[in-house]
Amino acid sequence: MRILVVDDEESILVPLEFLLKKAGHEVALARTGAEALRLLEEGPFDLLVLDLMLPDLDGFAVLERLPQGRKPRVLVLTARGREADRAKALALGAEAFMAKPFGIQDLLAEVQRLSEGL
Amino acid sequence: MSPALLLTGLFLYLALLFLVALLGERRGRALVRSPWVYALSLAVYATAWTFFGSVGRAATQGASFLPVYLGPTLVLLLWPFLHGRLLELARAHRLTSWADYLFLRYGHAPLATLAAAFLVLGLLPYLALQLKAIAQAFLFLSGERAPMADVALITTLFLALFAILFGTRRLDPSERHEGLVLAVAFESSVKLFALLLVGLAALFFLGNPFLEVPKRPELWPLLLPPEGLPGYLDWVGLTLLSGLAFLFLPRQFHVSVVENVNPGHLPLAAWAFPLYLLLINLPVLPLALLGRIHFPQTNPDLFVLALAQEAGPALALLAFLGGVSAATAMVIVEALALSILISNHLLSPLLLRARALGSLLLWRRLSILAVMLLAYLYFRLAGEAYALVAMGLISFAAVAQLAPAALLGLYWKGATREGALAGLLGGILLWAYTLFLPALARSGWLPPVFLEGPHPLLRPEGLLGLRGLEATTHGFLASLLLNLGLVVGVSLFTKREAPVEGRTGEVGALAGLLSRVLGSEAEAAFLKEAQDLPGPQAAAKAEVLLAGALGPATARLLILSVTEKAPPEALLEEAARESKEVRAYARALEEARRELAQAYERLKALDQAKDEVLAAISHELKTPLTAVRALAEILEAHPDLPEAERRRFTGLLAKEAARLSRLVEEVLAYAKLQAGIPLRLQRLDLREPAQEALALVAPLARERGVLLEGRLPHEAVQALTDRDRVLQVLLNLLQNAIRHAHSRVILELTPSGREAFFYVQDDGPGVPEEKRPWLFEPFQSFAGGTGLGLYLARRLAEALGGRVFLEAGEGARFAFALPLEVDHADPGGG
Repeated sequence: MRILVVDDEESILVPLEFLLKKAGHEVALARTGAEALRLLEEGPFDLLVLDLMLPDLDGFAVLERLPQGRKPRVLVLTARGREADRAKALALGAEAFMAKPFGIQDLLAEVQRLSEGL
Repeated sequence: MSPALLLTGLFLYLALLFLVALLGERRGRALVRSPWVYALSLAVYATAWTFFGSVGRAATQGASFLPVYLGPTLVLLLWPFLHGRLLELARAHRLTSWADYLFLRYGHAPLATLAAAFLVLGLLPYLALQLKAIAQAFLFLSGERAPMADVALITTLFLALFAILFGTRRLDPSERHEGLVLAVAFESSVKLFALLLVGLAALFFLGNPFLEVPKRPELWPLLLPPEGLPGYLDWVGLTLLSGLAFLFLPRQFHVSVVENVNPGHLPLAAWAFPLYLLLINLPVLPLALLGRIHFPQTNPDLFVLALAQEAGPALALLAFLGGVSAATAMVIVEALALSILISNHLLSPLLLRARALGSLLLWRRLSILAVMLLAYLYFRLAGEAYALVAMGLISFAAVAQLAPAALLGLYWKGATREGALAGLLGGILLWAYTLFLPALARSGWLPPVFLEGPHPLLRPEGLLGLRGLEATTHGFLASLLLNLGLVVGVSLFTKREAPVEGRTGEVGALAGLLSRVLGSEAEAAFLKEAQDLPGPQAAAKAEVLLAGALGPATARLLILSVTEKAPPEALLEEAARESKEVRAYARALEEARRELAQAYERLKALDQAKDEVLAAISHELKTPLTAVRALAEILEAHPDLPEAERRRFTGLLAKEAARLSRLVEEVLAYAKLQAGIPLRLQRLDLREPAQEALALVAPLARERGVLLEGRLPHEAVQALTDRDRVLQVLLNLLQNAIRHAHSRVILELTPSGREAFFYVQDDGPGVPEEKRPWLFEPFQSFAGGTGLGLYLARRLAEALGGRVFLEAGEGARFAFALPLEVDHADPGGG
């Protein structure tokens, strides 16, 4: 599965990349919303792991601008555990929502669930 | 005595009068403001009829001349009740005559016009009498029989000129004429002085006449009191008549009310004027007796002159001039007063309707000239006839017809317009029937039926068969009673008219009207006073100004053109007060509502801020916590990680742990700031905390690949301040800069005056315009900071008496200004 991980924090990207690769996925990284959209244009991804707090375009903006056609499934990560954020993200097409801080097992289980639905 | 000498004397006297009047208009203005001048000007009451006629009357009828002076004396005793009120009214409404008052009191009615016309007609003979007195005296002294008219015509024209010059110089709404008043006061002094001197001289040269009286029985009746009821009635009637005349003669109203400069003059005038009357009457009886004794064949009205001639030509000339002064003063003031009546009540309304108002001054001057010429004409036509001789008291009786409407109007609220009109009309008709027409008939100008009446009960000089009363007393009492009865009776049966509706208008429009009618001076005066007045008051003020110059009827007509109906004043005030109260109440409510809303907003903001602090802190904690947990779990689950990978993970772990601890530091600092921990001041070199701050953020800068540069001065920068807080401010600013910088952060320290400036500059994108307002608000992070840094920096700096602000320029350049001495300790930062 091709996975794109979007987060502005190096300390999040590094462990996620390691874990997802370990789980046998192909992983690409993006630090900003713009970078993420550019990568999404270039090639199709099966899963988008998206942080909502980004320096330029935030996670919601990325969700709104997802390229038409083969859309990836979206797992949203956020430190803002607010219900409104979850609802908004789901409304914009996200399929799963994880509040920080999360355990790596939970994350991997969620990714697994999403990949099985493919 | 030669006519040339008399004429010279007359002209010299008149020239002197001019000079006095000029003095009054120029340097003598202060003199005119004296209460003595006011009291003397009231003596315009004493005319040639007093000067020559009193002696004549005393010589034929005894002491019956006295009531003519008792009346005014008694009326003046009432001044606190009457004149005070009158002056107040006149001042407020710029009244120039009783006709003005009638208009004011009874509203728009033919009443004032009728009164004005009647006064003019009723007083013409009285004016003629004065001209005759001058002519008669001139002829008597010059010893000629004709032409009697010439000197009278010259005098007439001269007095008209005088009245025009000093009475209509300008259109002054207050109608004050200082020169004229001073001239009148001067003339009053001259006539008193002349009569007293003639009396003394006659006594000196001809001896005490009272010693002669016992030998002459024909003189006895002159010294006896009046007999029987008719005699007493004559006295009372005459006293009342002269009292009313003193009040209602236009010239008396003019000098006592219009020309009054200060109501405070009244108390003095109230005794000084009666004293004047007493003094001028002292010589009357002796002169009358001496005349009867020494000149039994002479006209008694000429006794004064005849007796003065006995004492020599100089005294004769003085007596002549005394008579002239009495006559001219009366003529001048009466002509002026009548001209104001004519122009205000007869001419202006007509001219205004005909849209031919033109120059008011011109009309007034023409009125004076017309009045004078009519008086002259009357004198020429009537001559020696009874119609002229008896006219003094008949004019008095005419003037008295104003009394019921005016006095009841002042003191009785129930008097109505219809009542006043009925009374005045009835009084005038009965006056004409009982006094005026019989006088004409007696002169032979009307058939005798006007003397006898159509029926014995309707005999003009003895209505209802009355006999024994003097014709004047009878006619006066009858007409006054009818007048009074009609005013009261009709008023009781008619409804009070609604008060004249108020008008409201724009100050600008009113000023324009005043400027058109009265000139720019009046406009300026009006604007000065009325600028801030509400419409109705401004309209009233403009109307008063116009009324003074044009008369109330014309003023009202003019005002109607630029104003509109105002709601009734009482209602208006009520509405104003109510709406004012309502407005105040609404304002208070609105104020309370706003305060409540503000308090609510503040509370909500505080509450929200607390929530936000919690949310922000938890949010800021979650990212490093996530990383720490993930990294720790990875390390735990994969003990066999390659060394490079392992080192990378532990490096990240350390970094996130440091971030957590920094976060905790900031939250603690924030909590400390909120709790208001006091400052710990110490003397230090500011370079030292700067260096420490640079050292502390060096790892962060290194990690971010940012070059850190300190530009500190070579000399120490001594300051008395709280070291920890300065350090905290610098740390926060530096961390913020490093987070936003591309490659470089500079910390600069510059002492400047009593302050030290720290500058923290980065080469990042700078602060977007739209973010600036919230830059220093808590939890407004937009670049992965805690959101507390800048807020804390500013609050801490403020606590030290300094400030933190963003400077304009490339990248972001924050300045931290710190006073070298903390002069006010504010631990909480305000």
